[in-house]
Amino acid sequence: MSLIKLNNLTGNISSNDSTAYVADKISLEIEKDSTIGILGESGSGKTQLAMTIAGLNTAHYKMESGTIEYTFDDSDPFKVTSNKSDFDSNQIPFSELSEKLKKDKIYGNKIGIMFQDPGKSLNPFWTIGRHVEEIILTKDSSKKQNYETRKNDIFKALKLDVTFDKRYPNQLSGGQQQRVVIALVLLSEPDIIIADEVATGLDASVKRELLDYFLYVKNHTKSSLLIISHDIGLLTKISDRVILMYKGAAIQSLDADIIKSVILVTQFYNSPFFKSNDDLKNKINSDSDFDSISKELHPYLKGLLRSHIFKVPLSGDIPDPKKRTGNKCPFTDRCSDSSDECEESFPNLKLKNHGWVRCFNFDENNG
Amino acid sequence: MDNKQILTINDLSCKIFRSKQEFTLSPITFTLNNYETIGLVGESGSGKTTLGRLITGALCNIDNGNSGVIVGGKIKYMDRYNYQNSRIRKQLHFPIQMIYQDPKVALNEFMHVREQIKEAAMLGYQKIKTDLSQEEWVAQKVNHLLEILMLKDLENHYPFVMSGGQVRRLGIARVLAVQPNIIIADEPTASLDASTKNMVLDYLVKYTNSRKKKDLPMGSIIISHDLDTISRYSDKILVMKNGNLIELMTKDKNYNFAPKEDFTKKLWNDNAFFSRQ
Amino acid sequence: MKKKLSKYYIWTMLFFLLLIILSISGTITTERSSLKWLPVLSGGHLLGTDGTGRDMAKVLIVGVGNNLIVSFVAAIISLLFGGLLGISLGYTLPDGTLKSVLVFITRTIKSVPLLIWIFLVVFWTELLGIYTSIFDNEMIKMVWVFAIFGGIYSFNFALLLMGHIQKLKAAQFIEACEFIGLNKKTIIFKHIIWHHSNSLFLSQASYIFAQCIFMEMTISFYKIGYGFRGEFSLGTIFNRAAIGSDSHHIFVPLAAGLILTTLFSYFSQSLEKKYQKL
Repeated sequence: MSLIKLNNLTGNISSNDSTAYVADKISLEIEKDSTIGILGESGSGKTQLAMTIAGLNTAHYKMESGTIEYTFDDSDPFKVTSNKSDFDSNQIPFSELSEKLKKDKIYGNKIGIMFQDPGKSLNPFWTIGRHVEEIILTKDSSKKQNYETRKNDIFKALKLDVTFDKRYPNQLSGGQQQRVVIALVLLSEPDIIIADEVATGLDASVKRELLDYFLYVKNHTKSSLLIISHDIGLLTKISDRVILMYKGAAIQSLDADIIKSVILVTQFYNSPFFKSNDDLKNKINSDSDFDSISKELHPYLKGLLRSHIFKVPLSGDIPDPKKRTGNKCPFTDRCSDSSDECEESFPNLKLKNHGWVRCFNFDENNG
Repeated sequence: MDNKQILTINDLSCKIFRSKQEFTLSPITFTLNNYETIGLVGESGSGKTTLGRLITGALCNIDNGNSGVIVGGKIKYMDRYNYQNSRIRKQLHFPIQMIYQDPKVALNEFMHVREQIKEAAMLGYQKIKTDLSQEEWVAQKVNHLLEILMLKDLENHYPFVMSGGQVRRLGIARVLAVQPNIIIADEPTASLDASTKNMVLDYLVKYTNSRKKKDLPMGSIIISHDLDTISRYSDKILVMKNGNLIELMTKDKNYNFAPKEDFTKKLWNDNAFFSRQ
Repeated sequence: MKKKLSKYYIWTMLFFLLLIILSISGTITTERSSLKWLPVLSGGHLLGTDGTGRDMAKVLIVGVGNNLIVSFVAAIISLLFGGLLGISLGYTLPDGTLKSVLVFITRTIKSVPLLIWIFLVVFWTELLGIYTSIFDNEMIKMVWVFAIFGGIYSFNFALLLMGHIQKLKAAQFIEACEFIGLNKKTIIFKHIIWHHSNSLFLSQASYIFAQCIFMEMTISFYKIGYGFRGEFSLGTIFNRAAIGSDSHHIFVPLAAGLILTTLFSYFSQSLEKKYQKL
């Protein structure tokens, strides 16, 4: 069952001077108890997607078309739509999403959000204990004891000492602040946790710890995770599925395992061990060329992986979000596999191996 | 010119007293040789940026005075100049330049791209020897930088309409236009995806190579927490933690780094965990 | 995409231009009829007459002109002196006793209500008038008073500018400029004033105009009697009508004053929003 379902979501962000087209017919589903990674460069619209789902950009975002459906337990399902004639009790305009999420107490309880700089989410004048108290205050007073127990369990799992209760955010390191924010979000047992670029700016050791905590969330809680990042290494470690974004469009959804296996196989074929082992080379018949190994991947993802493994940058520049893509594939200009078809239209979703892709280079299959 | 020490840091330390920013950097010693790249790694709060700003002199320039900062040690530039002396820095036309972590802060949001690079190039002209007039050289340099940093289409745009990656390239263009001898790049690849990361560092390599061809001095210090990228581009790596230098590593004959300290070993392993699946 | 010249700038500039034209023409059309073609002046007494039979429209143009002249003087003094002080406190002066003392004085002056300063200034001007004949010319006297007002207001402006520069410093922008090799003059005039603070300067100028228009009407009010008495101004036009108990003549200068004050305030706020946004 989907918690949140996006259907052809198209939208833009306007400021006084210009408009950026940040969403181009995005369709995706976030199921219960799943972990989804959203992968894309800066300017791909991935952060705006998270903000839109969480109703945090209602002041500037204009929904041009499409719908977002929210289905949470213990809560009436509702739909956000841009079509005025559809407004009724369970269909609302995007501009009212934030109010609805507040009124129905969805913020914090059903949707939890974590941002890149944890320091900015914490009140510098409150101790960590006070932060916890504030959250418990918003809950049913009869369940207070449950929350106290829950808090102790979570703090233990995230290696947060009891002494943290009395400490202020500026007395904690960046990594500790990050863990505190995770703990506070988990306290409310949200159905879905949105984490926007939370691993950016962290060194490998702190990132690894963060991964452990996310794995705890994934394996020991019922919260779904929506992790937004440009870090392929992190996303493939934690996600079940990865959705690739480019210039506001979601262009591929595939199992994270597929990406992992491409990386593993490529690294193996390029290892000194394999290269010097003629015997093994003869026994393995399949082509060790990167292009053949990565044929399940959209050309853009192929390019990103090539950068990740071989340190070779993609040619070209990310397109200007202030220009509409029009009716063509947004990646055409940088794609080495593009054809005339790609300049004329942008294909719809093609089902492929438990996922989908929007590219003419792929044939549809139901595998 | 080869293998000359262009920057010698001797027991450089500092103590920052200002409220909310108390920090102590323990004495650090290292040298930067000609055409060498040093990587400076460590988690946030380890003192990497502080060290970078200490070297350029920016740390002591707070509020036009030294209030709240005590500095110790020596910085020797080109084996003869005391780079801690502000008059000498000015005389030499600031040959040590920093590429800031947040490129937006170092740019004027109200000047368009071409003008910003031009302003910097006019300062760069003072450092070079050429038969061309200032106007000719500046125009040539600006066009060249716009070209190689893919900013030609944006030359009349303002930073506030550009994406993060484009603004970062503009920040690099501005620094390169000044013709620095030493570049300190503070987290140049932060928030960048795999492809753009490599693009940014390739520019620095190209610049170093072009200076090498002209027999001009050049060195870089790259500050980053991104081990993968740093180890590929650096000749030496300094590992920092809580204001202390934990280890200084040089590439072995296989062009690999072999950490000796426990902290560094753990960092290396954790990094490998992410890059190798 | 070139940056479009903000519509606020365009309208503000046009408005200022119109007012300048009017004020200059106002001082020369009372007797000469060079601007007779203006509908306001040519259609008979369009706005009626003032208490003594003069055409209200003509009288209003001259009056507004005088108001604008004194406001302009206040604005220029405020921007020049305030700009100088703001940049010194925010940038050129090193931390130390001198700077702390200046900031303290600035804040103290700012905290005293402006009207008190005006009354003090007028009082001392009147006193000075006993010893010198310069102030026999009412226009010179009023220019002097409003120049002092501009000087007092400049402390307020200096603090705003100082705060703005501190923000730029905290963002490392100034440091980046200095360490790329730009000299202080370029940083001050090109980057701080021209690029970063132009809307602040214009916003403050607009605000001062609004204040001055309203201030003049207040101090010229016959029951206070500290402002214009003989020369035409919005205040004196209002006074004549008030003394003559001509209610519909009171309305015209009052409306003109309110409209001008509101317009200048509006421009000031729009420019301030623009300055704050960026």
